[in-house]
Amino acid sequence: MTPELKTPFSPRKNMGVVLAIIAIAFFIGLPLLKNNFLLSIVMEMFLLAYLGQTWNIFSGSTGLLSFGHAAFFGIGAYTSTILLLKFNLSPWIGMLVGGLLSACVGMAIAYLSLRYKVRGVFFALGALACSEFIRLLTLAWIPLTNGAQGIMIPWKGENLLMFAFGVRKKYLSYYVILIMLALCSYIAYKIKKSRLGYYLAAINGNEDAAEMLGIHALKYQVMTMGISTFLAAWAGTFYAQYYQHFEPDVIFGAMRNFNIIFPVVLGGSGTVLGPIVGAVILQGFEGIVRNIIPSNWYGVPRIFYGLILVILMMYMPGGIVNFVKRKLRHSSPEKKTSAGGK
Amino acid sequence: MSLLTLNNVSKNFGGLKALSDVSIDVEEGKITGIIGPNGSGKTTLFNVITGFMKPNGGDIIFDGKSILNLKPHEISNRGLGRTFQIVKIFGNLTVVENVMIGALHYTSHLAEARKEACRVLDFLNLSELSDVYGDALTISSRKQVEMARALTLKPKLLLLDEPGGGMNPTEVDELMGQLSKIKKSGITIVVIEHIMKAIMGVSDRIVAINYGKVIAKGTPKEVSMNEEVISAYLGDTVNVL
Repeated sequence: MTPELKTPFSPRKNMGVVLAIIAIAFFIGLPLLKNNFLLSIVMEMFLLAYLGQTWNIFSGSTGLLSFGHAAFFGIGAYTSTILLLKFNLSPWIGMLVGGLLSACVGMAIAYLSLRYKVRGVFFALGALACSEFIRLLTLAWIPLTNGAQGIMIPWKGENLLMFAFGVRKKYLSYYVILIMLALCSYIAYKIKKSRLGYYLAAINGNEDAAEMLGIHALKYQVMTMGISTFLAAWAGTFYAQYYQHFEPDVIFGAMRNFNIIFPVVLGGSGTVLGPIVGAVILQGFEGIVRNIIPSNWYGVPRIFYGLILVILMMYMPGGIVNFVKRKLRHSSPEKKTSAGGK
Repeated sequence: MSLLTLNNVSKNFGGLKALSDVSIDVEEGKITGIIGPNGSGKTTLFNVITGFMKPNGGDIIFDGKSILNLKPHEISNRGLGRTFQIVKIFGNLTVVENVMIGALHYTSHLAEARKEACRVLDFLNLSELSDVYGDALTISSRKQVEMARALTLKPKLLLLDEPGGGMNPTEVDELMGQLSKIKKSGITIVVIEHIMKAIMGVSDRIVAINYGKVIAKGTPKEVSMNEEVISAYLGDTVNVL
């Protein structure tokens, strides 16, 4: 008896598709409300989700914690901006250059670490050290980076080809980050459903066993780091063009690294929806807590915020999406969840 | 013709000689059993063959070529599959996905790989476990799934490290049936096993190892009669056959 191949369209999957379409339609239509404040908040949320997704592509699938992903975000911001200011190169092209540079740095870091079997906590610390190194470099290399003051991009008017949309055409910036997030999530999904995804799952499951199945673990890990860091740099260019100003401590700081990882861990690392769910919840909580607590109770919103996160992490340690998936798997009749001795 | 040849292979861990001058010929199409007491160097032998450890001396010829300086994945790609004494199942994947990984070597098409995985699971009578997650399996199922996973690679040679460990007698019988079936499909097998009755029954040739040295080679009967093997390992001839 051969087990049946899974049917492509189950009722549950259909419901998921419908919900996804509704969500996408909602976000496409959002600028029609002409509420720039709301748009800013949603854009911040998208940026959070996007960076989380790039991190998730590498760390979620390989199980190797890249604690310094902010470095690649920063490389993107600095590369496109420096090219813009020194050579008047369009940030659209700068975005690609930054992505390539970032991928090279990311792949070099991954190769050197993994080649010499630097794993677990040491990989995380190594990545953090590299990120710090790049931060210090931008602080010290003043002629190129303007040091601690950061870089201000002078406003030269709206120009689509120069990635300059300004406040009046804010909705264009909004669509850019929306498309970026959709594209990045699509790539994450495609990887998961491909040979690469299965290989990464195998390597994450047990590297020796994967090697013994002919999988060159190092090659696939480095490749994935390349994809992840290439995309992470795009967020940097977007940030620079949207805010028109950035400085090393904001771009590379510990808080930035934390903000990249946290939505994913909260939402469910290794899942495509995880970073998005995590970002929505983080941004949502922050908004709600700030609104219901009087503004002169300094620090209290943060306490509430932290408390809710602690509770979520305690009861859903694998993240929200993984928690829901597990629940669904247990309630699903067609799948066995445990096996006796055969 | 021998598919795998070890010439004077040695491996030291500091001052400890885990393997000293081991020479073995594995004949194509046969099952070669490797026996030896705990710590005699059997698993080290597998680790050296599959490239997880570099030998300190000697040469390993597989399918006519030296595989001495190759990495595990390169050796695997030459057609050498392996299971582990401490099973290394992908707990994060279902059984069919575990087995698919090997098949993905030949096709990047997931559905095709899944089909091949189902075929191999069917071949080993493991179909009913298809949708169970790796970490929910019992130890004996894990061992069998690991074997199925190695088979989807279509190896020329399969190294099995204690496939019967943790199995009850019925399961061991079933396993020996599977080994014979795999052999019939044209795959050469080298198997490490502690269950004497099983390994003596299924193997064409036996190699006995003690303190990292080969102490006897031959048919199961010859080896079981060998004085040195008896004193080193079997203890009493009466229990053997």
